Amino acid sequence: MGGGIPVGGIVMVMEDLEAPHHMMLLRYFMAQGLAHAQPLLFASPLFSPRCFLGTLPGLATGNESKDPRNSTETNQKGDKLRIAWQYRRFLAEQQELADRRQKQQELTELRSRSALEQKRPSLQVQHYSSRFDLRRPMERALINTETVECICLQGSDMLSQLQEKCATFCNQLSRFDSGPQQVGRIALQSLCSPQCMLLLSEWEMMAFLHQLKSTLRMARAVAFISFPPALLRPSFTARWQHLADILLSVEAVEDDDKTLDAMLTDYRDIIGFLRVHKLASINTQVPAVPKAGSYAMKVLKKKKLILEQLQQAPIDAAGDQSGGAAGLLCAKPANAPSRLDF
Amino acid sequence: MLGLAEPFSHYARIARKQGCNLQTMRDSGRLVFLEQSQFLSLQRNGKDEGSSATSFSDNPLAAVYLKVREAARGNMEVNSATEGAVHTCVMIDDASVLDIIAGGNHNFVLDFLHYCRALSVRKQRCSVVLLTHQDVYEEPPAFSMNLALEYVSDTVVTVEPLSTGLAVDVHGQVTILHRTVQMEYQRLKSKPRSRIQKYQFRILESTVQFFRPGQL
Repeated sequence: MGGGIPVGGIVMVMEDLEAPHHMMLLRYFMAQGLAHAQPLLFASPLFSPRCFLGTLPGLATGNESKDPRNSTETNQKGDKLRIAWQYRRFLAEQQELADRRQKQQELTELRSRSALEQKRPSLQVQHYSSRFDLRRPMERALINTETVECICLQGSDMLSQLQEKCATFCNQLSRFDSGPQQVGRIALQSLCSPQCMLLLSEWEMMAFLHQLKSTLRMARAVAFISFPPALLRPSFTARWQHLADILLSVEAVEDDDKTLDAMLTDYRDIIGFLRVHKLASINTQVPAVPKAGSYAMKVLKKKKLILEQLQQAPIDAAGDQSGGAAGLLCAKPANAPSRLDF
Repeated sequence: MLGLAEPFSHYARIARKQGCNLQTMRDSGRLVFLEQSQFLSLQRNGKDEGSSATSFSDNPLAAVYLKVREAARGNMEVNSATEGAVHTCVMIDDASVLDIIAGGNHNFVLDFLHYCRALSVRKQRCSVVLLTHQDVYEEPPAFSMNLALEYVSDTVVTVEPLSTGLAVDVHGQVTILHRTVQMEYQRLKSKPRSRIQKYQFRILESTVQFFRPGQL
């Protein structure tokens, strides 16, 4: 999907007020970061954000989690064959691409500075396509590390605190450092929910977001922000959307929607829709056009989250008005020897 | 150039693909790039739109203007030394960020733009090119901004996606509206054309293709 989250980019998810699907994406985003032992900064309007970390999905065991680097070819083949591709794979590919890009950048920087004979630290082999089990909680050891920070988005000086934390977080991951290369993740949940907007004007929030964007661009970090657009004024929603590099939205499905049921083959399994509005185009002027605008979100066996391109059931030609015309156009000539000759 | 939306490297990389090296221009002083991070801290705290104070010193954009003026004047010295082109152009990428620096006071933004327009270098007025988003001004307090911006401009270029959605071959359509008589006259001298021109476009890595609708 457009090559993934570029380092220094902002992913925004527009929440649906009636469904918590954005939390699912957030969980996967954070869990993937923790699985790689990447620094994480999590801010939420919940009273105890650290408790939320307990709900992150744990790594699936067994021979499922393979290292994609060792078996790239087979994986590519598998990708082609598999129609339903999974979110974690998507995330993993994104991350891999982003990291590659970043490494290239690092390399060119190193060359241009002609800082030579400096041996690059041996790259850690990371399992990018970790698989997660929604039923199993994340290992405690991964959560209780020093690199994980949590902030509660309530209180009077919340924004200044958050701003400060983000700045220090990004400073630690500055692109100009030649230390171990790690990508930090910032996850901000429901940033403009009423709890955190009590004492803030929308303009201050916008200024914070712009500040965050400019610091992110200089750091090896990505941000994942979810916000409920229904709670913002339309002009501010537009501003938030312009700010995002990748813009997604989640949507709940109604339980008994007969038209959708008729259109989609596997309507019963779908819990919601994910729509892609914008893809990142940093350092290029060509806009990235997504292959598909909407994906169906499914949970398989209460275990895996799957994103799938929408598949429409073929329309029954008999009930269709245009069937007659098509039949006429594709009909065989009168003197054709067999039924199949045109 | 007032780059409020992206860092310099973003612009430099795109321009390099089009055969223009911004870095050398910046080193030689022909291009002055003002970064966003210098300005966001200027935002006034706690004040919202509708405040009565509108004097120049209260305007957080005044500091931005002073920097722009300083850059333009500095540019003049460079140009006089090299005897190159003397025309100065102020480019603002995303003027909607100016609202945020001004804390939501649109009068401040209009003041700032007026000052930029009135800026002159060697008795020649600077031209101002600014990019903004139409949809952020679609609510009552800011409703007049679109009209006000259009009123002060000589040429309005509107870029919008196709109404049928995103496509790979055609990225969108652009409408060019020439507003002033002066521009009209200049154009008419060369070739008579209508006041409104409409094209579709496709963006490539190193260029942009424009074509009339349906003539791809």
